[in-house]
Amino acid sequence: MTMDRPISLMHEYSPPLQSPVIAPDRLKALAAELLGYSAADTMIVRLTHHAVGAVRVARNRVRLNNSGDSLEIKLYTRFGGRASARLDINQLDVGTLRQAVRYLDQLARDQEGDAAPTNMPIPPRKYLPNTTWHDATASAFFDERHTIIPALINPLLNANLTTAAFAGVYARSYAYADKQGLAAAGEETDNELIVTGWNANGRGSGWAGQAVRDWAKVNPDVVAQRALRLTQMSANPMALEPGRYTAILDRPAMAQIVRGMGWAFDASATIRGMTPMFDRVTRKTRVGKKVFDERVSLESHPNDPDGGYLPFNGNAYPVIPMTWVDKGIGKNLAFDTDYAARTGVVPANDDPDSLRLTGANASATVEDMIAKCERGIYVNRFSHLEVIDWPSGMMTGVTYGGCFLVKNGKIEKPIRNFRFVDSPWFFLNRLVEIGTSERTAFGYSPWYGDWPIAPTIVPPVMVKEFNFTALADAV
Amino acid sequence: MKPFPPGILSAHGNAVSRSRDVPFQPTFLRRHAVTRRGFLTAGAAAAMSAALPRRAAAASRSIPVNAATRGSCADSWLPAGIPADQLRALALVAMDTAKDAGADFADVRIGIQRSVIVAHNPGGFAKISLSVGYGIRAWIGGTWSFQHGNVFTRDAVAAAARSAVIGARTYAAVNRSLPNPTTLNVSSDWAPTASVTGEWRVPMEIDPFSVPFDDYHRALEVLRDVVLVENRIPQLAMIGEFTLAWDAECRVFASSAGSLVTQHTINGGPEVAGSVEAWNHMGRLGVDLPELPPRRGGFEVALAPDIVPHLMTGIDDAMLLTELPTRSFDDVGRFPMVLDGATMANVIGNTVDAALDGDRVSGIEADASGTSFLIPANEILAATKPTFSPLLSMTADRAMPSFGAVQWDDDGVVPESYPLIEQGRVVGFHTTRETAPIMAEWNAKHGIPLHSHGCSVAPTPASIPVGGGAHVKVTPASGHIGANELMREIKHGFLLRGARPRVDPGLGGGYLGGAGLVLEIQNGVPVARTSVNSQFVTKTLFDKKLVAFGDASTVRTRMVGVAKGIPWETVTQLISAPAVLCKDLDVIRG
Repeated sequence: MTMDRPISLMHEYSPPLQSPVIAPDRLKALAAELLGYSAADTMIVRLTHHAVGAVRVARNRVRLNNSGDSLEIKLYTRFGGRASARLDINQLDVGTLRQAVRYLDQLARDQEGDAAPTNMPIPPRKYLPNTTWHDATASAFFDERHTIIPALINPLLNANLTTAAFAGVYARSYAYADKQGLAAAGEETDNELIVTGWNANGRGSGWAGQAVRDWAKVNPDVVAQRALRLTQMSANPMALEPGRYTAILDRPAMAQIVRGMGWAFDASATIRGMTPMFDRVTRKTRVGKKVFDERVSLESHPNDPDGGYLPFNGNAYPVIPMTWVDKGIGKNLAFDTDYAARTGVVPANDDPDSLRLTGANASATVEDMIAKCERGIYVNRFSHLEVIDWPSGMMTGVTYGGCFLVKNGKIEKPIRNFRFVDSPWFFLNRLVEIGTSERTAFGYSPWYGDWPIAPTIVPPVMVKEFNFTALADAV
Repeated sequence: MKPFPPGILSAHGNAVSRSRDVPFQPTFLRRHAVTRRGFLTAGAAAAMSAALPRRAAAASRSIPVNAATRGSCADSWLPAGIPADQLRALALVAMDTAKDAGADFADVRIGIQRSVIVAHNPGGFAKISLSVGYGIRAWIGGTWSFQHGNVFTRDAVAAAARSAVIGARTYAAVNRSLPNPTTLNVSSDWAPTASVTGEWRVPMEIDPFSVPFDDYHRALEVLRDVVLVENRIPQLAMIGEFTLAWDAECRVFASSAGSLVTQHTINGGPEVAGSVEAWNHMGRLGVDLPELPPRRGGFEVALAPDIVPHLMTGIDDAMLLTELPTRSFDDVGRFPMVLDGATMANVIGNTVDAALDGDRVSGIEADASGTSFLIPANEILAATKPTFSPLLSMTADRAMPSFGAVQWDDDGVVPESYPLIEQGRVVGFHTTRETAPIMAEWNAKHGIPLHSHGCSVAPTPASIPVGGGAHVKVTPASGHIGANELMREIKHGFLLRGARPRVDPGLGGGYLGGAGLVLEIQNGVPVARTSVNSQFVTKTLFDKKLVAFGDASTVRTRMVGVAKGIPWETVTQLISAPAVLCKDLDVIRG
């Protein structure tokens, strides 16, 4: 069954093979056009067009399909050293745009004088390829999105489990241009599938998900089978005494942890002693010092095959691959473009949103970790995470969607969820085993910003003395 | 100033700074001879009013500003927008299209939002914006489809409506293919509501979009100076920012059942993002100034007489701090604690009140914001024993002047005031048309027709409606029981001010610590500033551990936001709660 395609602005500007968003080349051309309308000394144009298609299943049936697109054009203008003026608009006809830019120039001319802004050096304008768009996802907006729902939830329905699910597709195109000559345009797509099941008595649940940029790789069967297995294994959980245990943290749990670590590499905050990358003893940063177990590395790459991101930031500065931690040793901090300009650091790189955590020579599977564990706790996922102490990176949250007692190399029984208080800057130094890295879904995670959350590629880990502080009410 | 071109959504400029003959410089507190609070209560409003003429006189007022900004206000810069009758016309296009396309039921929210924010700092600036959007729901065979957009043409709105219907039809077919398919029907499975027509405006005396920016700055100066200059305490300093901000919206709701209503709302007032810092031999200590929730109304809300006394509590806290040592507390165990009104509002808002949310109780948020421990609803309502302490009573409404006040919610229902908890017994839930059936059995047993309490909220016109928006009020104690009286009972314990809990997804328990101000109490008086981490089980806290409530003087109001759905959007409730004395709260190691 073919979805109707809304008549919206994009149809005037996209090729006949429909994309849910305006092509970036078209956005870039439009940005250049807008610059030409203005007499200002400084002008910045940012255009974003994004589209969402999301299906939510609740109480065993599709409850809601949500779709739509949104266009934003943000214009920023300044004459000489005067204060700036800004204007937002969502119209694309030439006449309105010309009039809007003229009006903005007038607004900018009326501003009062201000201190001269920092003149940032223009970095080399060489961008890595943009590898985050997939035509299959664009097509899925219109034709295929609904087809995966039965595969995603039927296995749980057939097992008489209460089921909730989410299947979302996302597309975005973006362009930047300014009168200094910087220009960049890019596009991205993303998909996320989530299934949660609950046992008949409401006690015990299982959660599974998948996040990929390419719709051709979505695999609802795998997601459904994993959620089914975890839910059935979670029936009638028992309470276990809180305390410090060996913990096997599966990829969904580690994704939640690792996503919450990027801020710690902010150079400005680190130098002020506000992140775990600051050594309180030496009063210096921990670049060049051991921060994790020697097997652990942390990096970001715009062309990461399992995720990636646009190869430029919101100011069109190139974003380059960065190694933050190399085999346990702190390697780099993130100097954002403003700070870099003031301190003369090149290259600039913003705090990472997208991270890959890897283990050297990693090959252990979760099953291997369980087999090796005399007494410990397997955690499928964490939820409701929050950093509660910035200098140490201490976090709290709750286990969710599958939590089991492991004894003598086997999963012995399901247990009730826990609240934890621990820091990855501590427990990644208590590492027993580390597995291979894959991109993992997040599910409901408003503590990390808007959906979709940036790709986070993580391994399962086994660590000692993980701090489970209290039983938690999370089913 | 030439008219704004059509289609422009927002413009931000440093349009007006300060009047040149009133230069800004930081001020320290100066103690006033007269009782400070009495003077401020009587004088502050007068001072601010004197600085801010009524709208009728503004046009003729001479303002010594530069020629480019004389008389400039938000309306000078914003586009005229789309008139309400045009919004109504577009809404009817959406509904006619949805019906023609075969929707069992459809509704639409379409609107324009304007905002103005003026901050008080050197080189103060004005930010103004305008945003537009719509969201169309179409229902077929028990399945919703929602299409949102921001292109305000008949063709685009009609296309969006058709898309919504096609989406509903597509996913209704998916539902029919599932094992054990069920079919829901809006007319029989949702709470009924009569079609409504009309127009409503929030009462407003002074339109903030017509107030010159320079008057904003004068009012901010008065607010800041009145708060600070009346206390001559040189070791206190104000750090942060005062802001005056308003959001105005014209929103049209229409349904395929014949509803067509227009609401003009406006919220705003002073916002405080800052702290008072005190310093002594122990170093600097900062105390966040108390939050000022927005209120329905125009510029006159900034002149309300309770604003300055409310802010003065922050000054009092800072003065107290200068006399208290700071020390760590390393013990664990069970201790009595006073939770001030702000802490109690935060805890209630994130636990008990959230558990009364129909979206959670019905299960439609199970994979997102979470579930509730107050299920199944009909058993909770019919419980023979109270679920909570008999000290606890709560009500909710969406009445003026609460910032969630509306004439019709986003389902087109007229909201009502309703009880939630009466002396520990759960007697109600926050419901929308969709979630009201959680009370069906209870209602039928008591001869009450099934109905929604009017809690449907779409944070923007282009957002999916969810449950929220109420102003929840926890009943304080009658009689004179202030914070001092509550503390007097404590031999060794703590007072928590402005703490915010981290709560488990099922709301059954949580963790207090890390934020807010904690005072160690010994023999009824604060002796030190410290920090502790405490964990709680919700039902136990509100059943066994409540000892006493404070009176109305201890009530504080907080905004509690919850991100709902996937993708998520935040919906906000106001919670007003008194201070409480609790016994035996667990203090743990952090």
